[in-house]
Amino acid sequence: MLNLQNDRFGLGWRPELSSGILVHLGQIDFVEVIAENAISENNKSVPLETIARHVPVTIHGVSLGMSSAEPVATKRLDALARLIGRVGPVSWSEHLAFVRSGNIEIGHLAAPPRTRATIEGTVKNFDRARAITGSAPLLENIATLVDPPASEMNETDWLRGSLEATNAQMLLDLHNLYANSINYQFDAREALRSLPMERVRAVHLAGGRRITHPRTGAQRILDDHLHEVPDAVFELLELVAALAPAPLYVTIERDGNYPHFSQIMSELARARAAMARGRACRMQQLATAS
Amino acid sequence: MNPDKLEHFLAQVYTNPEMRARFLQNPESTARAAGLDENVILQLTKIDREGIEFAGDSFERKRASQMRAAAPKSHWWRRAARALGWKMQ
Repeated sequence: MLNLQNDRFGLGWRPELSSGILVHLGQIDFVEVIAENAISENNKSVPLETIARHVPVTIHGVSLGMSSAEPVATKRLDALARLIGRVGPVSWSEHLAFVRSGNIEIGHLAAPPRTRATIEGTVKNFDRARAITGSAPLLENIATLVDPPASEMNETDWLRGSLEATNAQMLLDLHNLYANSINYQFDAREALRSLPMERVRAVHLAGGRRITHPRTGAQRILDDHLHEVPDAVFELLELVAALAPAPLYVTIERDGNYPHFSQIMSELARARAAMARGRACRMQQLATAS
Repeated sequence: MNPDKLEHFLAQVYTNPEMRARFLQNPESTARAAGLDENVILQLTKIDREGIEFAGDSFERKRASQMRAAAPKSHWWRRAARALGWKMQ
């Protein structure tokens, strides 16, 4: 579904940001809508179809549970298919996570054990999702506060294995990668270099905060989407721009603790600048190599 | 390994504080009682204990937030009336 020559920069659509987004549409290339909000609200706020007439829309799901041995519920895929049919998004995406098991709803995205079995589960769910909705989702890496128990491989090997087995394109969440690199002591830049960057079609930028264990005092980064995008994440974005050959959709995600809208637009401008520096570096590398 | 059984076990650990406490106290016996494979039980003895607690707390906050968001809204004047002991029609 993505067929562009240039990178695009957008914001996550939230009711609290809607007026700011509509006023600044000339400076925003697209908006990303949370699928479950659009399906449950059923256009009680600004109709999604109206938004899609004025700006390209991408759809982002958060509750399918793609990376699970449990099949994604058909009714969820049917609802998503209807939403996609109504809106005509540029793309849609979901997470490499599990969110439920049987009648237990975890309440958020949980990192599955990084095993061949969960890759196989991802493939089955991915193929069903593509068949029912009519288009393949981009798959996103998630942040995790726990090193997934009973894992057989590290994060980048599992991500690469999942993407290759599904032949999917990737939504690369840089704050998720950054948070995991801090929490589990690996080099985020080296992780980027080992990911299949030719599959990356979209990027998420967000912020988080450090949380402290009440008993041990240990700290981890929580990807809460309630804070500004850290400098380190913009630096990773510049590297992504140097490594990824395809045009990218870059989204700033903010879910609350909203600053003045001008600050969010400043982050968008900063993302454009980081991408421009990275693309210039890429052009120079390609010119040197030829 | 039975991935369904493992995922279900992890979902219980992440969402049930009592199950989580039992698991952190004795991962091997808790996993064995859940009927997990022996090789998985061995892997679960090398757990990220702080991570399990961080994650359980975070998931609980998320579920609570979702329940608050889904609860019917009460207008401020209804809440004030109830506080004053007025009967509402």
